[in-house]
Amino acid sequence: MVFSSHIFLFYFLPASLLLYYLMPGRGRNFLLTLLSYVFYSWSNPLFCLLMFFSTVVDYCCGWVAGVASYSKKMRKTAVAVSVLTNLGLLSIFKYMGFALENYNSLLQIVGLSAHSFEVELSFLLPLGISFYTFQSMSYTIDVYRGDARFKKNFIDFSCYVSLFPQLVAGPIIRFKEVAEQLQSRIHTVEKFARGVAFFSIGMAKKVLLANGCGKIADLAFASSAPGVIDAWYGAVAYAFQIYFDFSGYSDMAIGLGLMFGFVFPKNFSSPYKSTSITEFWRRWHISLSTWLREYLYFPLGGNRKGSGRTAINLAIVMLLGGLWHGASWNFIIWGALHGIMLGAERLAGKEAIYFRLRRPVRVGLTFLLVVIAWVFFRAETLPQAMNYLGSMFGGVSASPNSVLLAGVFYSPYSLFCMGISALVVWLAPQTWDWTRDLNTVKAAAIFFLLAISVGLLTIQSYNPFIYFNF
Amino acid sequence: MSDERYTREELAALEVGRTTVSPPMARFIVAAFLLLVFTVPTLQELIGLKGKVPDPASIFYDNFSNAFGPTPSDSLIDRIDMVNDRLLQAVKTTEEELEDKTLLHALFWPMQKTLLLLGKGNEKVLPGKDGWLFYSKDVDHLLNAEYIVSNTHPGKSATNDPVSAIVDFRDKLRQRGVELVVVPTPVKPMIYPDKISRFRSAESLPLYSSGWGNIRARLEENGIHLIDPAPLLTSYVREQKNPAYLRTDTHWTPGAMETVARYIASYVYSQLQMSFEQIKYKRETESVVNQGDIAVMLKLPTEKIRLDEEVEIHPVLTGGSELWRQSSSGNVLLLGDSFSNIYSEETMGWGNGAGFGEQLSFYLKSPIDTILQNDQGAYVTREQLAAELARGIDRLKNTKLVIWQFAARELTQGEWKIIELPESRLGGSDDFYLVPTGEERLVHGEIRDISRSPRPGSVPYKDNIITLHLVNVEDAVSGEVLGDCLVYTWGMKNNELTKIATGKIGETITMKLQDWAAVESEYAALRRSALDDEMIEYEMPNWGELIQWQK
Repeated sequence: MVFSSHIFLFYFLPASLLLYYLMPGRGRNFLLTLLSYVFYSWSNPLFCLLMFFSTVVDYCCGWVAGVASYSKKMRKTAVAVSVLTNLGLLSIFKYMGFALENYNSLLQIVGLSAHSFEVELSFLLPLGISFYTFQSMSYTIDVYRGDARFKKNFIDFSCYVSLFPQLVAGPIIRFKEVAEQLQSRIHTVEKFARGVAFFSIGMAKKVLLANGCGKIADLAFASSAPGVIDAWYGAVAYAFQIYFDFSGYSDMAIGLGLMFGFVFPKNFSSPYKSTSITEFWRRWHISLSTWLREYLYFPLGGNRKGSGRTAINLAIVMLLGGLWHGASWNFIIWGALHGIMLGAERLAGKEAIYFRLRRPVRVGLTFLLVVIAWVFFRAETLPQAMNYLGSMFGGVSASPNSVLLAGVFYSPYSLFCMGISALVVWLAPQTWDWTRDLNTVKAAAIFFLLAISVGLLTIQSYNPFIYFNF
Repeated sequence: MSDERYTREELAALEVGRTTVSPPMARFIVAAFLLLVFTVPTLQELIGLKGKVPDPASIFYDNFSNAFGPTPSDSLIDRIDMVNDRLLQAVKTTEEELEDKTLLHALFWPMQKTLLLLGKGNEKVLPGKDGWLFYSKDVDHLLNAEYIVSNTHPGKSATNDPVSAIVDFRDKLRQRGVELVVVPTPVKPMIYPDKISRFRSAESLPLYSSGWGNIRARLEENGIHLIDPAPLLTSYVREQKNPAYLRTDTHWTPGAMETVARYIASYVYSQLQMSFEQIKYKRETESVVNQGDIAVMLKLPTEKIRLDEEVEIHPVLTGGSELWRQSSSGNVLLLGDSFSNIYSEETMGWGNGAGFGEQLSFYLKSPIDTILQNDQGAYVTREQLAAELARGIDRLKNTKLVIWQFAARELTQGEWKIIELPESRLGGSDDFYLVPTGEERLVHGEIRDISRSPRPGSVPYKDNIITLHLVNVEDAVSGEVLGDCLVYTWGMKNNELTKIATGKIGETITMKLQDWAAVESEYAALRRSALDDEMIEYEMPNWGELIQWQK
């Protein structure tokens, strides 16, 4: 179930709100857990079993890791079991096919095809598995480290793992960030009103901007050989789409959290206003970069072992960050590109190599680098990515059919979507800032955006959600 | 706001705590939001209970109540899997029905009209210039890179290669002494790119998908008789100054279709040197007004806005002024899709008796047989031919030539499976009951299998027939046990799903059955969704009408 859908907005959400506020305080976490499992089962009821399994394992491991009287070895084993179980689930459901394919290709190269595996075993990727396994795993690690207390109440812990506002596409919430809120949270009209504002803006970002730009990007990337301008237009459209898609979803998640009394941290901070790649990663998918920093970069040694090792650590983290997004060489290359750029900036003192230029130029150049890297993220295969980059840089001659792209790309509606997107990306304040003061004009704007979004949802069926695939 | 002293969670909590909103304004925002999200489903339910629109409670109940019903398998894993599949289907149908039937459509259609003017259609429709509408899949056919790698793409099997399927079909026909002519019919953007993009002149050559040259070369290398109507249609537009395609529809105009039929007739006689039984036909002129299938896909409220256009069709008559009919004794068999059907199949709304088969027959001056079905031209007509052969009906007995017409987009989007043409009868087992010709019978039966109808508005046709496999069939009056039954029935009629289209395995229904042959000439050209079990498809079908549903 996606937030920007008829069934969520007019059936699931009102029913959830009604039941939640009718339920006495003690039962609310249980109800939220139940609702979250219904929400999750909407994509495939069988996936619930997997989430429940991950929850039970981490609950038990957290218990062992959190009891000080147990030996250190036992507590360490519990953490290892938790990490291995979660990474094991991810490996089986997300990476096994990819690993076997590459293993077979390698055997073919060295002439040992006879030893190759049959790659017939394939699994459906359970929705949100990358998000909830990371989230659930962080609990055991935090408890072991002493950063959080283990949760005796299984319902509260299940609620943390499955909480539907952020279950399938984040933000990734570390246990220590919501532990107290699971115990008790404050519900106020002001908080709810700000939640409505967040939700409406997120929905508008998704339905009005991400979907409009997504149509352009889909056509550009499906085209066999777009012209130079069309290829750049399509790549920029994708950059806008993924930003509005994901930050819109995060805004809606934060908004829904507020409606149910939770406060989730910021996940985006106007990333395309960055003047360097280092800054971009401080502003893009903050919950993932924070997770990777705390549970991967720091354990690798962080920046404490010299600048060379720091650059290598960054590259490793970004490579694995790329792989987290999907089992494909394109994601690995995307991560590697960012890792190399971050490493280079680290060696240059956390500055972009063009740091002497004027700020608008630095913002433009950073955006350009990010857009080029997005091509690997969006293309379905490596040859397609290379072909598309060839089109962007004039290395592939445009197909005569690409004139048809112009009919879609430069229609008043598409130009309007791209124009508004650019304005919002570079000139508009962040949702957190904009919703801080809610007055009459802003209330009117919120409901105008909500009405237009509902209208578009009603009359159009194109409504993909990119981060659901991860 | 960023401060190294605070965690992200603390910063967020501080930030939320700093919300500045007056209590009345906060209450207003919350109340207005709740009013919106609660009013829509409540109103829908209340109006639904009066029977004016489907009520959401019934939609949920109807779709989910059967998911946990009996399952034929004994294995627990299979049963779980089956229930899970049913739940997934229920989820999909519920969402689609709630979205399709929402009251909000009535509120927002003017917005859709405005967006149309700004160049925004929907997932199916791309608005062009001067009121021209295009089917998105037709545009995709010209843009997508998929085609050039169709043989090597990892997701595609070798049988999905159009050239292999066409050559295989030609070889199987040749074994029976039948020649094949292939006519991939251009889709609208191939002839009218200038109506989409201002960067293309109206006088330019047709556009082809990027891999067309390769496909054409391979077909010619294999000696396939290929007729590409695209240059012909471009000349038709240029020289006749008449439109070759309907403005709001996916299909060609009668004039363009007749030009192609005339060309094929001349090709058959002059290039293939074939001769057939000769009959003289005549034609009349009629005017038809209708709204195109792409306009229908916009889902605008037809009572408020219609995008009608008028065309002149030429119904073909015999010398004795009787309406033309297909003839199984004809030496030519036309396999065709909606491009063949559009002016022949009354339910498509553009008249009848004036389709591609009729015009071919007129120009060939010879009777012809036809197997026509809307959509999926890559395989459905071949499949139907194979099914008839399996039932013992030899549609190739008198045939010297098969003309195979399909939309060119099938080359990139179609299912090019290899289909066997049975040498002898495979179906017609005694276990399957067939109503005697000329009779009608009221029966009860349990649904063992049912094919799925497409969602209204999601396909470029408004009628669809579904297939049912009924078991434990017995006469509703006498109680006589009749065994199994293969039944064709309406799944979608005039862009509305029928009640039986939502039928589920295990349910018992009462139907009035008659011999399919009695209605075949009327309904055979409509798109039919087949069952997955190929062998059951070879049984002789009945035509059925739902009388009662025993839940």
